[in-house]
Amino acid sequence: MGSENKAKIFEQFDKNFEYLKVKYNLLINSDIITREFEILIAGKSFKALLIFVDGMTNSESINNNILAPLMLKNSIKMTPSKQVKLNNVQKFNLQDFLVNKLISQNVVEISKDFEDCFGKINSGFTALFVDTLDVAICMETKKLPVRSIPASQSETVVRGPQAAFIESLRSNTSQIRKIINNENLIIENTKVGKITKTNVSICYMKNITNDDLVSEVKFRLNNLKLDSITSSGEIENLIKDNLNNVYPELLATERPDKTSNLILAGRVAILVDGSPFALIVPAFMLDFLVSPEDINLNSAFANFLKLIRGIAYFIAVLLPGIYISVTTFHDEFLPTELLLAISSAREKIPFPIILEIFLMELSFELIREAGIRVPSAFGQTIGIVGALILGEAAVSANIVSPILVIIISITAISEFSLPDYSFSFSTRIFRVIYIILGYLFGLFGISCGIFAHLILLFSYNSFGVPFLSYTSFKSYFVKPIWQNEKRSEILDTKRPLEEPHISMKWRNNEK
Amino acid sequence: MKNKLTVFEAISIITIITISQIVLDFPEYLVDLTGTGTLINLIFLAVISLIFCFIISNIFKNFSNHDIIDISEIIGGKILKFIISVIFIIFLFLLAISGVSNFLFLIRNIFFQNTNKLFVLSIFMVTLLFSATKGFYSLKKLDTVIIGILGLSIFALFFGDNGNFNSNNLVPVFGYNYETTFKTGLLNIFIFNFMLIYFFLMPNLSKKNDYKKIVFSSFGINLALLLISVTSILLYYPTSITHSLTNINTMNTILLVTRRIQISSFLSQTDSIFIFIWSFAILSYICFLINSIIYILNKLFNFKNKSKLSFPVVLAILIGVLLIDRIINIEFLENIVLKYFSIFLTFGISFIILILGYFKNKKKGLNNAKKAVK
Amino acid sequence: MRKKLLNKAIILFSLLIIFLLTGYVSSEENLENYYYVMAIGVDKGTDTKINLNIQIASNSSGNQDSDGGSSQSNSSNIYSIPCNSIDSGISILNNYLSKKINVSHCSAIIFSEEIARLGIKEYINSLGNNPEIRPTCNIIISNTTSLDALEKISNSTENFSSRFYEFLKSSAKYTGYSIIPELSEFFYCLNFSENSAIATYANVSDEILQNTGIAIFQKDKYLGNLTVLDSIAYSLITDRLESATISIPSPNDSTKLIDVLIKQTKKPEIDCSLINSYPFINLKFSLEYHVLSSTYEIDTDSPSGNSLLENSINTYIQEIVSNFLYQISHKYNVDICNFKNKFIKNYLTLDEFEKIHWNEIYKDSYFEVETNGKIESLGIFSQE
Repeated sequence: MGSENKAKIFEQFDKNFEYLKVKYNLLINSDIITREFEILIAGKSFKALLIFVDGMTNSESINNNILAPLMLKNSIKMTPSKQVKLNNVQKFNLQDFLVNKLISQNVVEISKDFEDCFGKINSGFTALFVDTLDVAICMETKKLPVRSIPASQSETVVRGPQAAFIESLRSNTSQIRKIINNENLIIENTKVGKITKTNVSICYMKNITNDDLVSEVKFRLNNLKLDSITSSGEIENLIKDNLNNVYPELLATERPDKTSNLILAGRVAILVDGSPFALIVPAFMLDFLVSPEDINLNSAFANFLKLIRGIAYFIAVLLPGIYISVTTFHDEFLPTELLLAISSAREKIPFPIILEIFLMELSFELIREAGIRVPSAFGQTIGIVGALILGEAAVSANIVSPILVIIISITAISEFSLPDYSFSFSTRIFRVIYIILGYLFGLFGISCGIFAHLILLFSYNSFGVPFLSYTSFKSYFVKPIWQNEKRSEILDTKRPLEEPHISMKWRNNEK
Repeated sequence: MKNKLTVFEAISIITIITISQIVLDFPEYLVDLTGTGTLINLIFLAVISLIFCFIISNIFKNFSNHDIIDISEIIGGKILKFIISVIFIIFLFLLAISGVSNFLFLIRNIFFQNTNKLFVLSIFMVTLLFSATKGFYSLKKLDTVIIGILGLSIFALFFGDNGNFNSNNLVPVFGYNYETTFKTGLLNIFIFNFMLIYFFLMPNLSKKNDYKKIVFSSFGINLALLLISVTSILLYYPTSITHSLTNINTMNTILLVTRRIQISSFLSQTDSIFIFIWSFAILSYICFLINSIIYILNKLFNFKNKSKLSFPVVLAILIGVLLIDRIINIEFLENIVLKYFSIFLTFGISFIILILGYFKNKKKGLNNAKKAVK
Repeated sequence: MRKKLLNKAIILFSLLIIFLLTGYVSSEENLENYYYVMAIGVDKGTDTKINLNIQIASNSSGNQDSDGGSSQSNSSNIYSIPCNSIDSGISILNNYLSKKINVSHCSAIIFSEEIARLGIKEYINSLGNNPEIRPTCNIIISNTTSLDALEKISNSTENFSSRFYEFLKSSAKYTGYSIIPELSEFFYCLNFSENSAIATYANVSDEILQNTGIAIFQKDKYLGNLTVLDSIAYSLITDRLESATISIPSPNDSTKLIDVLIKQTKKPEIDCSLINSYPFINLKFSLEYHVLSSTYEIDTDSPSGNSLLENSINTYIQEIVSNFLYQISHKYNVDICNFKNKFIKNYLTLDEFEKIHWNEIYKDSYFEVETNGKIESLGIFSQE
């Protein structure tokens, strides 16, 4: 296949046409359009063929800038003077004449083999085959169906830019370049997938990002041997360090502002064509608790929100486990009144507590999954049926205790308050582990679990950078923006200082 | 390079050893011996130990790439190296076994009266095995994170139980009599067994110049923690009880102190929180011991696959714990065996080897100088 | 290949340990399977050694709520069982109750005067040794049977709640009428020290249970009880008093009484020394007084009247404290205020202290009490 594809373009027009017919299955492929015509140059008539993909190309541009000059203007130029001139020229070059004089299209590229040519046709170029030329002239006539830039759906903020990425790679890179607005921003392209040849862009700042990091990203992306890639999620799983890690190791975001900020901080963004999410490497565990809103707020508010999110993470992971361990092993720990309240609520429940808690967890997961599936018009109904009616009925039917409903609800709310979608997934897995540990071994089991959990987290790396470290704990809370002098030391950037010691020059000028 | 220690990591590892030993009720043995004189006794012993620290840190300047086992090889060749390593390994095993069984006994007595011992032991061992296979790197990073909360928990002992403390319980400051405090009390120096790490620290540091800093600051922090815990015990028990502690076989003196701590009337019994926090210290301590055993074993035999060693080591500890399944054995192991073993190792054999190594090194240096002159 | 085998071995080892032993885990440990004991009462038995009374907070029975549970426990059951020891009594109860008895939330242990006179060491020891029970649990000696006392508590006009005992504890602080010694103190005093143990003395009258005064123990035997005023004196000396209300006779007209609220402003200064080989103990109190009743007899606005009242309050408190001190030292010979500990301060080592034979000389101690009190407020209307 490979060697055949590398086939050079023939000089004979018919041969080329036959080749195209076979390769593109022109008889059955409906969206590939061919247009045969003749070009008259220097009294000679050359057979010519345009081929393009309908729907990806701008037909206006093809008509006005390609077909019109090739077909119409030629006849006008059939003046005697021109003919004389032409005769004077010893070496008449048809290819140069076409490209330089006739085709008024901005991007024109020359393909010498069919593989290259097909790649271009598939991405919205129009290819021109002319008799006696052993090249194809590819003209950019791209007009892809894209949606307009939407507001961010999964990372909503109150204060801050609302724009989000879309499925078009170029549009995404342009959004980043517009924000960063600097010539040092490099957007490198590479192709992944033998069949799909998906465009993947690697964006970084040339004068900030550590070179080793960039080359590591390129190395991993260029060494992916598989047929197809259609989304950034696949790339994420293919290039992460630790295969068994349930935590996301790459930060996925659909916000250009967040992406640009992280690129400026010295990280690398990976954009995949057809996916509205940018992947950012390396990612640290605590990055997943950061909301894009934080930098737009007063640092005190931002830190308060960060604290809340930190607590929410612990609640989401630990609360059901702690509840089960306290009620099973550590009843002396509870205040007597609370203990009696729990005890009387539990008394009528026929199930053991472990079953009760799993029942609730399961039904919660079901409600959640159903809530995503149903059309958004019914979304509220699911919430009401699931949470209110079912919960109320389960309690009054003595299937679950009201306290447990509270526990599970708090856990769910905490989970939803985590800003990263895939990160909040990980809490569910560990929650189950902690429930089992708490049931079997009480608080001691939970502390064993936390210990092993932390050991596990500390052993992870994301692109050579520790996933969790003491320094990342320290830098979790943001300083006011004028004190943000240094870039993160872990990233080992080329420009360690972000701003001078005194960034607010106007304050000093007052004196 | 990955496993080399920075200042903070080294200090937190050393501090966690002391915190674990506080949790494992080593201060009770101190108070047993010297009564209310323990504070004076401890300060007196700290001065002695500081002299040792000073000598150790000065000699190790000459051995920037050697630990005590390498030095023993310099002096006595492979045989001495083998003997010393085996002694260390036995000591570390005993520490680990006593630590696990002591803590197991403690939590079983409080939380798991109805649960099988093996069952509780299993989760302990599985956690240790898992953590040991992940290697030393994760452990040292973990230590830097948990050290803060552990240190706070020791302070909470002191400040949380303020209402029940009676400053009169600290007197008489010299304990039973001067002889017990200063002569018999010398035995209490075993509590400074964390100093053993100083003999292994040098080649494992990322910056050799930090050695002295680490030695003295970790010593200071550990001494402060010991003083706080001893003060808490002394303040908690009336003098007359302190002096008859020897007769009472308390479960765990520190834990009894925590049982009195009340966070308002809402959380009236907080000891489970303390156990919860202290489990980290114990796990990290035992895990550190396992890693140390692997480190020495590796020095001795040069294993290809280091991480797989953790399996037999944990298994050996498990067998050890199952062998001494009686509380009286744990007490004997801690109070008699480990006490003398610690003193023998820390202030005896390691120190002698270090001094000998120093002189041999000096002689060699002189010889080299002479050769150079010739 | 070998690596994989080892990996598998590790996983197998872990799984084996967990799953082989899961059968041992008791599934009945959850809290709905327990009866939580609020208080334990011990009486002298007729046929057996003791009569054990156990008060259990029951919240579900008699609770008709359809909500599935209530947060307030407003009733309690008392089970009485003749047995030979507390632990065996609990076992007997466990035998016929549907749930297991758990004493981890027990907040009071009540002994009848009768059994306390015979010695309660073995009961206290078995309770003090129980890791389940709280060391902060209170010891109460009642003048009737403990069953009677428990019944009075649960039938009292107030809604019974487990908080009852908590309120008992906090009220002792602001009334000073009783002291609330805890189990651990009692346990240590009984076993390891020559100090005498003390307990709350509860006076069960027709309708209610009053906790008034101190029950004094010599070794483990109940000796006698001290009054409310002694209790205030004790609280003053041991710095436990937040506030107390006492009535003192008016300095002008001794038939009339003036109510005064006392507050301790500083820790009492207690100096102990040995004079003529007898202990000489000097106590200084810094107090503030809030006069509660209107004092029509005295002109409290004038300096002389004010100081007159002040002096009379001071003298009254001095009398109370001295009376208390001479009672405990000369009459009962019990060192419940732990003057011994204050005495040790003067010695550097224990050996030196032991030469003075404290236990023999204590009963001949000489006390000097000074009170330094000031009237802080007189209420709204101080004079006609």
